Amino acid sequence: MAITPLLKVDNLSIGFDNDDGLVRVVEDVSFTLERGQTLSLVGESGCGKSLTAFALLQLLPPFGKILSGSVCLQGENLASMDEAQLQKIRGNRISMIFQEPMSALNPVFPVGVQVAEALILHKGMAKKAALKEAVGMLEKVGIPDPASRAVNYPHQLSGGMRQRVMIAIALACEPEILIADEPTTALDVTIQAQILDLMHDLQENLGTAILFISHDFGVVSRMADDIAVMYAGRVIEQGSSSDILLNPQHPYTQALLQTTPRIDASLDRLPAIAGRVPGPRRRPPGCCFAPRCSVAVDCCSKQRPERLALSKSHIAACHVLDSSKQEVSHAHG
Amino acid sequence: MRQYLLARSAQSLVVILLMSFVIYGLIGLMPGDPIDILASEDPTMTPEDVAALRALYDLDLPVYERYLNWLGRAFTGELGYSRLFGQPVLDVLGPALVSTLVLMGTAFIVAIAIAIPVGVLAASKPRSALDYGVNLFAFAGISLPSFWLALMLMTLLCVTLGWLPAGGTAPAGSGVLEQLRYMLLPVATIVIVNVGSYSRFVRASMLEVLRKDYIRTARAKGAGQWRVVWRHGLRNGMIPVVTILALEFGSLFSGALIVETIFSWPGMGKLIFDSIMGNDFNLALIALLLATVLTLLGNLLADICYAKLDPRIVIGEGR
Amino acid sequence: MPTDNVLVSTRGLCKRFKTRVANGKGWQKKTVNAVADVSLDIVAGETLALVGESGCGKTTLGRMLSLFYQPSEGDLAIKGEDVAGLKPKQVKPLRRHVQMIFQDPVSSLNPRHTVEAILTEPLKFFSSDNAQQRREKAVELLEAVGLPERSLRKYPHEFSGGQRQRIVIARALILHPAFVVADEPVSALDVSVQSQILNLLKDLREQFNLTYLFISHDLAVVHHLADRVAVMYLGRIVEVGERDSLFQNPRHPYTQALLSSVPGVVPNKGKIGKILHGDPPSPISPPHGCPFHPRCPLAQDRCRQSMPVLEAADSNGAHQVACHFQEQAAGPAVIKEVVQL
Repeated sequence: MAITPLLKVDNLSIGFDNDDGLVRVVEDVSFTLERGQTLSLVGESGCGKSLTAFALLQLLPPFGKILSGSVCLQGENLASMDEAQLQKIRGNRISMIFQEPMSALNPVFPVGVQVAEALILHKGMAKKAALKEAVGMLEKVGIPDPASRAVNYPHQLSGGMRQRVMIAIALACEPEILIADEPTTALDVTIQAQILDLMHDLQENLGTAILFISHDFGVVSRMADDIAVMYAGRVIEQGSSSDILLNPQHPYTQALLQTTPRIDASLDRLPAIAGRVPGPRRRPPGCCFAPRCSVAVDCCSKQRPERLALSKSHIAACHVLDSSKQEVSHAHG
Repeated sequence: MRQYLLARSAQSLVVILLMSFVIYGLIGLMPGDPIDILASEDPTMTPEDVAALRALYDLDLPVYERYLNWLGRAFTGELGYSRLFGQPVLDVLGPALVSTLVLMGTAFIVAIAIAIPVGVLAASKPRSALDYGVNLFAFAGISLPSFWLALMLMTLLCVTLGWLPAGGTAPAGSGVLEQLRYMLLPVATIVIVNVGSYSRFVRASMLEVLRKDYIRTARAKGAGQWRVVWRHGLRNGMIPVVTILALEFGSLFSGALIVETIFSWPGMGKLIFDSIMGNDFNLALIALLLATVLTLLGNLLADICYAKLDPRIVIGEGR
Repeated sequence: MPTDNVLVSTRGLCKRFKTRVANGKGWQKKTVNAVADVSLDIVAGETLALVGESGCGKTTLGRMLSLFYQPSEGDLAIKGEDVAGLKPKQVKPLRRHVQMIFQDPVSSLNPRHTVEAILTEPLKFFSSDNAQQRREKAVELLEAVGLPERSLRKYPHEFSGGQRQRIVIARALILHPAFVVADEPVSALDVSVQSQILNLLKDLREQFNLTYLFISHDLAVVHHLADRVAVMYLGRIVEVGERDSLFQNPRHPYTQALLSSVPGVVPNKGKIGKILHGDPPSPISPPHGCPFHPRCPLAQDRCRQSMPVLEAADSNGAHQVACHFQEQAAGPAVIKEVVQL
């Protein structure tokens, strides 16, 4: 490809190095994100999707670190940058919003001040000008009466309003990329719809690329251009939204989609996936999904499946697909 | 706010009233009374004289009646005379209270001024050399008895090196520097004993705060380590610390009593000690009550600081 | 409207809480009408789902029906026995018929008790069984929820979230209650575990002849489990009906908005469009007239002035709606468009 992608993540591995020794939690994750596009990382809790997102900006929890791989923002590798360089990117070129808008906002500062901070840090604005601009940002994210809301503290706002404030903080400096970590999970369904629509509007107006982390295929179907499904620290299937939602190939993706209750289908029993996700220290040597997989064959428990290109956009890692042909793809993206 | 202060004052009054009864009762339980001391000092007194004196001072009445009599007089502002000093109680207590507050206040402020930065730095670099150092110092401070530390400092700096005066206060009319020289050792003793545990409070609270989601938000915003810790963390971290420190203020008072006695600092500590040993009921009672008042004031101050630091707390009609 | 075989019945049920609100200067005493004028019948053997946004009063209603809260006003009858106004001592024997399953399986299990202690505790209060019999019953229930006998000696932290919820369910069922109130029992669980628990709840309903009140904010889950659905808004029931009737032909504008907010699982990136604006009003100062009118696209003067009551929306009266304009509101729900895709 001639043009460098906006964000290119290559073979990213993340681990925790503490008193119990090193444990690899996320392994060999690769994806690209283009301007104005939304890529969704989907998976159950513990699959490493949030950790992957935090690693992009090196915001990992204590003892967490990037073990290998690269995170290139327009060709510059974030994984090898020092703290000072990263600070210029965080909140400026790449922003984040989080699951719990209550705990993600500082309880002791008015929300206007918290929005203004990003502008002071990155745009070199004076405090007064930044506060004025912050009110404008609050208005942009649909907060009614923004001037009087700006002096409110987070606890004085509703959950939906708090998430709007978080979005205002994240978008204050018009970043190229917005990382949204389960941004609507803590919200009611009607408020979720408001926030998702707001994100659509902002993406359209600002051309922001979104990395959307979620466990909910329903929400993802509304947001994503592309989807990467993660299981036990690996991307097991990846493709366009219609590849994954309409034509899932990996047994885990298929099972996860079938097991999601829907209001447009009536089933007497939901097809359940037996067992549970293995913890990072208990991952089997072969395919991590093999112990729960209904179509597993011998080699599944022995050997890690390689990524297979099923079409130009669609990739899956499964031995069962492998045996039914396709050429092996090492270089993807 | 005014409503709140009124309600709190009313509550405090009840507490003070209760405490005055408890203290009065405890003093009444002490063996011997002033008349016994008089009698032992004056061999010419007959048992009849003693009984007459007892009746004169109401000492033959049961303790609750004496208490009610005292209370009645106290409400008219008459707190009685100090037997030891032969002066009204308040005249004796006033200057002592001031000099204790100067000593305690200085020590408290110095200890906090050291503990906050040290605790914050230790929390922002857990398991660092500084962190371990703070720990070591804190445990040393907790384990060192203040009287022992005071004597060691005195031996080293006053006796062996002769740099500082061993006790008392500067003579009247001397300069500020001279007065500070007299304060240095008692203040240093109190600070050394307490600063370690104060820094541990700060450290623990900050460690908790630095794990919070909004700290991650601040980092994601592009704030540097300094800004994250001192601007986003500190104010949140101080909220629980303020409560603990306010409670500590009460125990600082009792600690100050020992240090004052050792350095012959003319404060409440020496006064309470002397008044109890000398069976000076009137003086001991008020002096001990003042300790209660100080603790209550500390708590009130903490609640106000609490509301100032945390916008989620609204001070209103008290509970 | 089903009349015979009613297990739980409420008429004009209300719950008010006293609270204090900070108004900048100090505190002001206020009353929250958490549940207002709820009349419901739950028939033995059915699963009635209670849906609505957080703060709509569904949990408070659930707690009244499971005898945790005394109603402030109105009638509540369980198995034909009037409960409202009974003294705590008189309520106690009824408790064995009514059990509750909570959302968070971590905090609803005592971390210092073994599973055996957790499961057998209700038997100590309500049965004359000896230790051996209690143990046998505990094993029986563990089996019913799909956990091995050796779990008895373990502590809650040794189990995963889904297994803990199984323990919570086993504890709720050990007294063989007739009525189980399940308050968001799967919302803390992962999708793959959630479906296991939903299937289990369905199986147990058959096995133990249970009647469920299923409280949830997740309409997809409700659709899977419920026979009938009641929609709550600001403490009131605004629509109630058979599941299919309500999902396919929602009459109340609020129900329609709720359903259109649920994303389907088909690739359709883009705005949802027909959504509700703003937040639900505070139950401390509910709007005059219809509680939904400030957010309602159909609101007229009438809605601002008078409160609509639940009225039959179909011929047999099984589907009821509280809306002045239910005729106008009736229309193809967005959900149908999703099905066609």
